[in-house]
Amino acid sequence: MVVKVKLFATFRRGRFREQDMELPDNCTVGWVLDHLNIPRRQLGIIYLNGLAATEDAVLHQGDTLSIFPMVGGG
Amino acid sequence: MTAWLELKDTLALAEKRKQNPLEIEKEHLARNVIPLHYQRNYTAISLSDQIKLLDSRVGVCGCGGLGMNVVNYLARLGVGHITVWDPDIFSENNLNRQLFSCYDNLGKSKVEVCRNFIQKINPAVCLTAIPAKWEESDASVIGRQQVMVDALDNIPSRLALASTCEKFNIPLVHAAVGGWYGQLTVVMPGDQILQEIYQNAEQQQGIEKEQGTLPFTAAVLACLEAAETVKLLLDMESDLRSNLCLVDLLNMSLDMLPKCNLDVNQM
Repeated sequence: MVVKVKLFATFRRGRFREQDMELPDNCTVGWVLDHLNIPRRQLGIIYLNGLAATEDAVLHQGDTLSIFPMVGGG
Repeated sequence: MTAWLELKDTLALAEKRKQNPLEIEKEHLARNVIPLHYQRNYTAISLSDQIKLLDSRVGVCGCGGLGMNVVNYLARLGVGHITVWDPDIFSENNLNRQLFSCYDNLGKSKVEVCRNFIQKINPAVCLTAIPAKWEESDASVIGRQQVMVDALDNIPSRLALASTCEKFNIPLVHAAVGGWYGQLTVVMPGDQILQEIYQNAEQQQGIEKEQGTLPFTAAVLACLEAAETVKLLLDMESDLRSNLCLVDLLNMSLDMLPKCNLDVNQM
Protein backbone atom coordinates (compact mmCIF):
# COMPACT_ATOMS: atom_id res chain seq x y z
CA MET A 1 0.00 0.00 0.00
CA VAL A 2 1.04 3.61 -0.52
CA VAL A 3 0.89 6.19 2.28
CA LYS A 4 1.84 9.85 1.93
CA VAL A 5 4.32 10.69 4.68
CA LYS A 6 5.06 14.33 5.58
CA LEU A 7 7.92 15.26 7.87
CA PHE A 8 8.39 18.60 9.60
CA ALA A 9 11.24 20.72 10.99
CA THR A 10 14.31 18.72 12.08
CA PHE A 11 12.76 15.44 10.93
CA ARG A 12 13.27 16.60 7.33
CA ARG A 13 17.04 16.65 7.69
CA GLY A 14 18.62 13.69 5.90
CA ARG A 15 15.15 12.33 5.11
CA PHE A 16 12.53 14.19 3.03
CA ARG A 17 9.71 16.72 3.28
CA GLU A 18 7.01 14.61 1.67
CA GLN A 19 7.07 11.18 0.10
CA ASP A 20 4.61 8.54 -1.12
CA MET A 21 5.96 5.52 0.74
CA GLU A 22 5.30 1.93 -0.26
CA LEU A 23 4.56 0.22 3.05
CA PRO A 24 3.64 -3.33 4.11
CA ASP A 25 -0.10 -3.86 4.55
CA ASN A 26 -1.47 -3.20 8.04
CA CYS A 27 1.74 -1.59 9.25
CA THR A 28 1.52 0.92 12.07
CA VAL A 29 2.65 4.51 12.62
CA GLY A 30 5.32 3.12 14.96
CA TRP A 31 6.67 0.95 12.14
CA VAL A 32 7.14 4.06 9.98
CA LEU A 33 8.86 5.88 12.85
CA ASP A 34 11.28 2.97 13.27
CA HIS A 35 11.82 2.69 9.51
CA LEU A 36 12.72 6.39 9.33
CA ASN A 37 14.88 6.24 12.48
CA ILE A 38 12.91 9.00 14.15
CA PRO A 39 14.10 9.38 17.75
CA ARG A 40 11.15 8.99 20.12
CA ARG A 41 12.53 11.56 22.56
CA GLN A 42 12.18 14.21 19.82
CA LEU A 43 8.70 13.16 18.80
CA GLY A 44 5.94 15.73 19.14
CA ILE A 45 2.55 15.22 17.56
CA ILE A 46 1.52 12.71 14.90
CA TYR A 47 -1.37 13.49 12.55
CA LEU A 48 -3.07 10.77 10.56
CA ASN A 49 -5.41 12.20 7.93
CA GLY A 50 -5.53 15.48 9.87
CA LEU A 51 -6.29 13.95 13.27
CA ALA A 52 -3.93 13.21 16.15
CA ALA A 53 -2.83 9.61 16.21
CA THR A 54 -0.75 7.29 18.35
CA GLU A 55 2.09 5.00 17.34
CA ASP A 56 -0.13 1.93 17.33
CA ALA A 57 -2.54 3.38 14.74
CA VAL A 58 -2.78 1.08 11.70
CA LEU A 59 -2.18 2.69 8.32
CA HIS A 60 -4.28 2.17 5.21
CA GLN A 61 -3.84 2.75 1.49
CA GLY A 62 -4.11 6.45 0.66
CA ASP A 63 -3.56 7.71 4.23
CA THR A 64 -1.59 10.88 4.91
CA LEU A 65 0.74 10.70 7.89
CA SER A 66 2.38 13.87 9.27
CA ILE A 67 5.12 13.68 11.90
CA PHE A 68 6.33 16.63 13.99
CA PRO A 69 9.13 17.04 16.48
CA MET A 70 8.48 18.58 19.87
CA VAL A 71 9.24 22.29 20.06
CA GLY A 72 9.20 24.07 23.41
CA GLY A 73 11.69 26.96 23.42
CA GLY A 74 10.96 30.64 23.92
CA MET B 1 -9.23 66.60 8.29
CA THR B 2 -7.44 64.47 10.87
CA ALA B 3 -5.89 66.16 13.90
CA TRP B 4 -2.82 64.78 15.69
CA LEU B 5 -1.62 64.86 19.26
CA GLU B 6 2.12 64.87 19.87
CA LEU B 7 3.54 62.80 22.70
CA LYS B 8 5.16 65.82 24.34
CA ASP B 9 1.73 67.46 24.57
CA THR B 10 0.18 64.26 25.96
CA LEU B 11 2.85 64.09 28.65
CA ALA B 12 2.54 67.80 29.47
CA LEU B 13 -1.24 67.49 29.82
CA ALA B 14 -0.89 64.36 31.95
CA GLU B 15 1.54 66.18 34.23
CA LYS B 16 -0.67 69.26 34.48
CA ARG B 17 -3.86 67.30 35.21
CA LYS B 18 -2.13 64.61 37.29
CA GLN B 19 -3.60 62.00 34.95
CA ASN B 20 -2.24 58.92 33.27
CA PRO B 21 -1.11 59.66 29.66
CA LEU B 22 -3.34 56.77 28.61
CA GLU B 23 -6.43 58.71 29.74
CA ILE B 24 -5.31 61.79 27.82
CA GLU B 25 -4.89 59.72 24.66
CA LYS B 26 -8.29 58.04 25.03
CA GLU B 27 -9.95 61.40 25.57
CA HIS B 28 -8.39 62.78 22.39
CA LEU B 29 -9.16 59.69 20.31
CA ALA B 30 -12.81 60.00 21.33
CA ARG B 31 -12.70 63.45 19.68
CA ASN B 32 -11.01 62.04 16.52
CA VAL B 33 -7.62 63.44 17.53
CA ILE B 34 -5.02 60.71 16.95
CA PRO B 35 -1.89 60.48 19.08
CA LEU B 36 0.89 60.95 16.53
CA HIS B 37 2.78 57.84 17.67
CA TYR B 38 -0.24 55.77 16.56
CA GLN B 39 -0.50 57.55 13.19
CA ARG B 40 0.76 54.56 11.22
CA ASN B 41 -1.66 52.18 12.97
CA TYR B 42 -4.42 54.05 11.22
CA THR B 43 -6.52 52.96 9.27
CA ALA B 44 -5.58 49.29 9.63
CA ILE B 45 -6.62 49.94 13.23
CA SER B 46 -9.70 52.18 13.34
CA LEU B 47 -10.04 54.94 15.92
CA SER B 48 -12.60 52.97 17.90
CA ASP B 49 -10.33 49.89 17.82
CA GLN B 50 -7.38 52.02 18.94
CA ILE B 51 -9.41 53.08 21.98
CA LYS B 52 -10.30 49.43 22.54
CA LEU B 53 -6.60 48.51 22.48
CA LEU B 54 -5.77 51.26 24.97
CA ASP B 55 -8.37 49.74 27.30
CA SER B 56 -7.09 46.18 26.77
CA ARG B 57 -5.34 43.91 29.27
CA VAL B 58 -2.83 41.30 28.12
CA GLY B 59 -0.62 39.02 30.20
CA VAL B 60 2.66 37.74 28.81
CA CYS B 61 4.24 34.74 30.53
CA GLY B 62 7.95 34.68 29.84
CA CYS B 63 10.15 37.65 28.97
CA GLY B 64 12.81 36.09 26.76
CA GLY B 65 13.25 35.65 23.02
CA LEU B 66 9.50 35.52 22.40
CA GLY B 67 8.14 37.58 25.30
CA MET B 68 10.22 40.72 24.87
CA ASN B 69 9.28 40.97 21.22
CA VAL B 70 5.61 40.38 22.00
CA VAL B 71 5.61 43.09 24.68
CA ASN B 72 7.49 45.44 22.35
CA TYR B 73 4.93 45.11 19.54
CA LEU B 74 1.89 45.27 21.81
CA ALA B 75 3.22 48.37 23.55
CA ARG B 76 4.12 50.14 20.30
CA LEU B 77 0.67 49.37 18.94
CA GLY B 78 -0.97 50.82 22.03
CA VAL B 79 -2.21 47.88 24.11
CA GLY B 80 -2.79 49.85 27.30
CA HIS B 81 -2.27 47.34 30.10
CA ILE B 82 0.41 44.68 29.86
CA THR B 83 1.56 42.38 32.65
CA VAL B 84 4.73 40.38 32.12
CA TRP B 85 6.13 37.58 34.28
CA ASP B 86 9.69 36.26 34.34
CA PRO B 87 11.96 35.50 37.32
CA ASP B 88 15.19 35.54 35.29
CA ILE B 89 18.06 37.98 34.99
CA PHE B 90 19.94 38.59 31.74
CA SER B 91 22.81 36.25 31.03
CA GLU B 92 25.33 36.35 28.22
CA ASN B 93 23.67 33.58 26.20
CA ASN B 94 20.54 35.76 25.91
CA LEU B 95 22.38 38.34 23.78
CA ASN B 96 21.81 36.50 20.47
CA ARG B 97 18.04 37.03 20.53
CA GLN B 98 16.49 38.86 23.46
CA LEU B 99 15.42 42.29 22.33
CA PHE B 100 16.29 44.40 25.37
CA SER B 101 19.41 42.46 26.34
CA CYS B 102 22.78 44.16 26.07
CA TYR B 103 26.17 43.84 27.72
CA ASP B 104 25.35 46.55 30.27
CA ASN B 105 22.15 44.76 31.33
CA LEU B 106 23.74 41.40 32.16
CA GLY B 107 22.67 40.38 35.66
CA LYS B 108 19.63 42.68 35.67
CA SER B 109 16.01 41.55 35.94
CA LYS B 110 14.54 40.95 32.47
CA VAL B 111 11.09 42.28 33.32
CA GLU B 112 12.49 45.40 35.02
CA VAL B 113 14.69 46.19 32.01
CA CYS B 114 11.71 45.51 29.73
CA ARG B 115 9.54 47.92 31.73
CA ASN B 116 12.17 50.67 31.48
CA PHE B 117 12.46 50.24 27.70
CA ILE B 118 8.70 50.19 27.21
CA GLN B 119 8.34 53.35 29.29
CA LYS B 120 10.64 55.07 26.79
CA ILE B 121 8.93 53.53 23.74
CA ASN B 122 5.35 54.26 24.78
CA PRO B 123 4.89 56.15 28.07
CA ALA B 124 1.11 55.73 27.82
CA VAL B 125 1.33 51.98 28.37
CA CYS B 126 0.85 50.68 31.92
CA LEU B 127 3.30 47.80 32.15
CA THR B 128 3.30 45.65 35.29
CA ALA B 129 6.59 43.78 35.64
CA ILE B 130 6.48 40.71 37.88
CA PRO B 131 9.97 39.31 38.51
CA ALA B 132 8.67 35.85 39.43
CA LYS B 133 7.33 32.71 37.82
CA TRP B 134 3.72 33.22 36.82
CA GLU B 135 2.82 30.07 38.80
CA GLU B 136 4.09 31.70 41.99
CA SER B 137 2.22 34.97 41.66
CA ASP B 138 -1.38 35.85 42.50
CA ALA B 139 -3.60 33.85 40.13
CA SER B 140 -6.26 36.57 40.23
CA VAL B 141 -3.90 38.78 38.18
CA ILE B 142 -4.24 36.27 35.34
CA GLY B 143 -7.99 36.21 35.86
CA ARG B 144 -8.11 39.94 35.04
CA GLN B 145 -6.45 39.57 31.63
CA GLN B 146 -8.41 39.44 28.36
CA VAL B 147 -5.74 37.45 26.54
CA MET B 148 -2.73 35.52 27.82
CA VAL B 149 0.41 34.97 25.76
CA ASP B 150 2.52 31.85 26.19
CA ALA B 151 6.13 32.96 25.68
CA LEU B 152 7.56 30.41 28.10
CA ASP B 153 10.60 28.20 27.58
CA ASN B 154 9.59 24.88 29.06
CA ILE B 155 6.81 22.39 28.42
CA PRO B 156 5.48 21.76 31.97
CA SER B 157 4.96 25.49 32.53
CA ARG B 158 3.21 25.84 29.16
CA LEU B 159 0.80 23.02 30.03
CA ALA B 160 0.11 24.51 33.46
CA LEU B 161 -0.59 27.90 31.87
CA ALA B 162 -3.04 26.33 29.42
CA SER B 163 -4.90 24.77 32.36
CA THR B 164 -4.98 28.08 34.25
CA CYS B 165 -6.30 29.94 31.20
CA GLU B 166 -8.96 27.26 30.79
CA LYS B 167 -9.96 27.75 34.45
CA PHE B 168 -10.31 31.51 33.98
CA ASN B 169 -11.93 31.16 30.55
CA ILE B 170 -9.19 33.23 28.87
CA PRO B 171 -7.86 32.63 25.34
CA LEU B 172 -4.17 31.76 25.16
CA VAL B 173 -1.84 32.61 22.28
CA HIS B 174 0.86 29.93 22.13
CA ALA B 175 4.19 29.89 20.34
CA ALA B 176 7.31 27.79 20.76
CA VAL B 177 10.61 27.84 18.90
CA GLY B 178 13.66 25.66 18.34
CA GLY B 179 16.44 26.36 15.84
CA TRP B 180 14.90 27.39 12.52
CA TYR B 181 11.44 26.13 13.49
CA GLY B 182 8.43 27.32 15.38
CA GLN B 183 4.80 26.54 16.09
CA LEU B 184 1.88 28.80 16.81
CA THR B 185 -1.75 28.42 17.77
CA VAL B 186 -4.59 30.17 19.56
CA VAL B 187 -6.05 28.09 22.37
CA MET B 188 -9.67 28.98 23.03
CA PRO B 189 -11.21 27.87 26.36
CA GLY B 190 -12.25 24.25 25.97
CA ASP B 191 -9.53 23.41 23.44
CA GLN B 192 -7.01 20.74 24.42
CA ILE B 193 -4.52 21.59 21.71
CA LEU B 194 -1.47 22.03 23.97
CA GLN B 195 -2.20 18.77 25.76
CA GLU B 196 -2.32 17.17 22.31
CA ILE B 197 0.85 18.82 21.03
CA TYR B 198 2.77 17.82 24.14
CA GLN B 199 1.16 14.44 24.71
CA ASN B 200 4.52 12.69 24.31
CA ALA B 201 6.42 15.16 26.49
CA GLU B 202 8.36 13.41 29.19
CA GLN B 203 11.02 16.07 29.22
CA GLN B 204 11.04 19.82 29.85
CA GLN B 205 12.35 20.78 26.42
CA GLY B 206 11.97 19.86 22.77
CA ILE B 207 14.31 20.21 19.80
CA GLU B 208 15.58 23.57 21.13
CA LYS B 209 17.71 21.61 23.59
CA GLU B 210 19.89 20.49 20.67
CA GLN B 211 19.04 23.15 18.08
CA GLY B 212 19.28 26.25 20.26
CA THR B 213 17.12 29.32 19.60
CA LEU B 214 17.82 31.60 16.65
CA PRO B 215 16.99 35.31 16.89
CA PHE B 216 14.89 35.60 13.73
CA THR B 217 12.85 32.50 14.58
CA ALA B 218 11.95 33.96 17.97
CA ALA B 219 11.18 37.34 16.39
CA VAL B 220 8.96 35.87 13.62
CA LEU B 221 6.93 33.76 16.03
CA ALA B 222 6.65 36.66 18.50
CA CYS B 223 5.33 38.90 15.71
CA LEU B 224 2.72 36.28 14.88
CA GLU B 225 1.78 35.98 18.55
CA ALA B 226 1.34 39.76 18.78
CA ALA B 227 -0.85 39.80 15.66
CA GLU B 228 -3.05 36.99 16.99
CA THR B 229 -3.33 38.75 20.35
CA VAL B 230 -4.57 41.91 18.67
CA LYS B 231 -7.10 39.95 16.61
CA LEU B 232 -8.47 38.41 19.80
CA LEU B 233 -8.67 41.80 21.52
CA LEU B 234 -10.51 43.31 18.55
CA ASP B 235 -12.81 40.33 17.96
CA MET B 236 -11.34 39.71 14.52
CA GLU B 237 -11.48 36.35 12.74
CA SER B 238 -8.42 34.11 12.87
CA ASP B 239 -7.72 30.78 11.18
CA LEU B 240 -5.44 29.90 14.06
CA ARG B 241 -8.43 29.32 16.32
CA SER B 242 -8.94 26.06 14.48
CA ASN B 243 -5.45 25.38 13.21
CA LEU B 244 -1.90 24.76 14.30
CA CYS B 245 0.65 26.76 12.31
CA LEU B 246 4.12 25.29 11.75
CA VAL B 247 6.85 27.64 10.60
CA ASP B 248 10.03 26.33 8.98
CA LEU B 249 12.39 29.20 8.18
CA LEU B 250 15.07 26.88 6.80
CA ASN B 251 12.80 25.52 4.05
CA MET B 252 10.64 28.67 4.05
CA SER B 253 7.39 26.81 4.60
CA LEU B 254 4.34 27.65 6.66
CA ASP B 255 1.88 24.81 7.19
CA MET B 256 -1.56 25.19 8.70
CA LEU B 257 -2.89 21.99 10.20
CA PRO B 258 -6.31 21.38 11.61
CA LYS B 259 -6.43 21.06 15.37
CA CYS B 260 -6.90 17.49 16.50
CA ASN B 261 -10.12 16.38 18.12
CA LEU B 262 -8.67 13.47 20.01
CA ASP B 263 -9.66 12.97 23.63
CA VAL B 264 -6.26 13.22 25.30
CA ASN B 265 -7.61 11.49 28.40
CA GLN B 266 -8.05 8.35 26.32
CA MET B 267 -4.41 8.30 25.19
